[in-house]
Amino acid sequence: MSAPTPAREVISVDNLVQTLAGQEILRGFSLKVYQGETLVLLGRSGGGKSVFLRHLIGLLQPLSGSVTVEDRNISVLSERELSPVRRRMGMVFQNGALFDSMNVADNVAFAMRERGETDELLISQKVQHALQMVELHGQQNKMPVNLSGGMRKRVALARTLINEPRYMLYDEPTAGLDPIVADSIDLLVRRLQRQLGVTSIVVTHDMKSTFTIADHVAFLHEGRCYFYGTVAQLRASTDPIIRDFVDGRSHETP
Amino acid sequence: MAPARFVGHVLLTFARYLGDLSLLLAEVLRGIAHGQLRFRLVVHQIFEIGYRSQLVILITGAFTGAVFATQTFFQFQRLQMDTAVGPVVSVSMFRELGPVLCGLMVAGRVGAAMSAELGTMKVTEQIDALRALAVHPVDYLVIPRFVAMVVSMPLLVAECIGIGILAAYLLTTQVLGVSEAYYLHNMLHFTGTRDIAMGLMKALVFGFLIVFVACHQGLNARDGAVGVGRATTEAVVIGSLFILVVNFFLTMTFNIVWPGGK
Repeated sequence: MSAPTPAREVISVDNLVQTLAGQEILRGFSLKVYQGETLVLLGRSGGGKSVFLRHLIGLLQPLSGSVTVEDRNISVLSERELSPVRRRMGMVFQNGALFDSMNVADNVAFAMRERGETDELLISQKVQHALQMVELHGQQNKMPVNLSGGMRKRVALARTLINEPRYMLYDEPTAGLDPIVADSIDLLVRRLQRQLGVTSIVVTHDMKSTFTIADHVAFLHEGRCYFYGTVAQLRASTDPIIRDFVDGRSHETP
Repeated sequence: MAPARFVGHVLLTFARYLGDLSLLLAEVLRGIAHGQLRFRLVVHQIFEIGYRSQLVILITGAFTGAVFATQTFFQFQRLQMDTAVGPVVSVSMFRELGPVLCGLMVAGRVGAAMSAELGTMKVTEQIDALRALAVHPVDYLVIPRFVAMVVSMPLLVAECIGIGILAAYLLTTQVLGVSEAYYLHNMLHFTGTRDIAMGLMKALVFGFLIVFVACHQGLNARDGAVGVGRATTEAVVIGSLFILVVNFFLTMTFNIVWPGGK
């Protein structure tokens, strides 16, 4: 899939360093994300992809380095100062992170109600629309505990979509899903980009998903950005680390 | 050197813990100053803290009053002072037994529930989801619990004291045969506004301690189910110990600041 015409740089990560539980996770990671594109971040499990994603929405503060969203360095902002930035962003967590005390409709309506919306008719219409977008119409009254993994992720997606975010962050959106649901999530990510112009950053190690949705691909290896390029460049790469990952080779003797 | 180092470590840990609680308090006050008061959640928490604690508080109050009256009666009877049971039970219930026992029961029931709920939300990323949706977890989770506790705790303690005094009165006058008129007269004569104020002030302070310790443990839970279990246990243990220790200092302070009289 070809990259869109060069666009404005909207998210810029510069020399990010992070240590968790005494282990150096990010060692000077830098990346740029352009308006309206879908960037896929690849990397081994436990390599720090999710940790990196959390910095983009201010859930983690870096030890050093900076995250700039629309020309504002968010890594120095307090929790309350981050709110306006976060309202423009949406994050889909790996396990959905649905509020388990609320049903599907209340989960999806949460952000609207928190913004002070009191018109329940409008809220109900928006909830229905968001659930239609993720193909979960008619599931409003179910509790999260009664949903499958794929449904939870789609409800989590609907919960962020109701905010009409400019930026979407996905943490392993297709992990643990059957291939058909995984494909429907990929198509949804693509549809959001085309219809709403949403800029997306997707953390995954699903290569099929990467080839379907990515405009640019970054590869996180040993805490740094080891590769950055288009899908075509990824496919053509002869670097042994990239090739092993793309082809799924472990080099272990059976 | 080793014992000195150990004491230093304990003191530092305690100072850091108090610092954490103070920061949480500052964030709560900042949130309230920003007008972050969700009335629907406050009402829900008052229901959880106040209404759902009714059985525990009624039984605690009634049996504490009854057993204390019985012990006092059989000791005082030998001195022919059995009509003094009324004021002794009443003053003790107001000043110490009501607030402390009610506090310990609420720390066990409500503190554990709060810590477990917040801890589970933390380890299942629901608190991060709140933050990602631009909602401050302290505003959404701690402030409603704090306000509900400030409203509920004095009422629960007052109820516990009231039931205790009633149970003591009924037992002493109807079963143990003390004169109703003397009992009531002595009780009302020796129980003053000072005793009531002390009981309710303690209730408020214990409520603060329970809610801050429980929320702090919950918000800082980690390591999955084991971590939630640990946070819950610590919330109850630390909350209960705080109540017992702070109660001593409150009693001392009250008696120094407001000595004698009624």
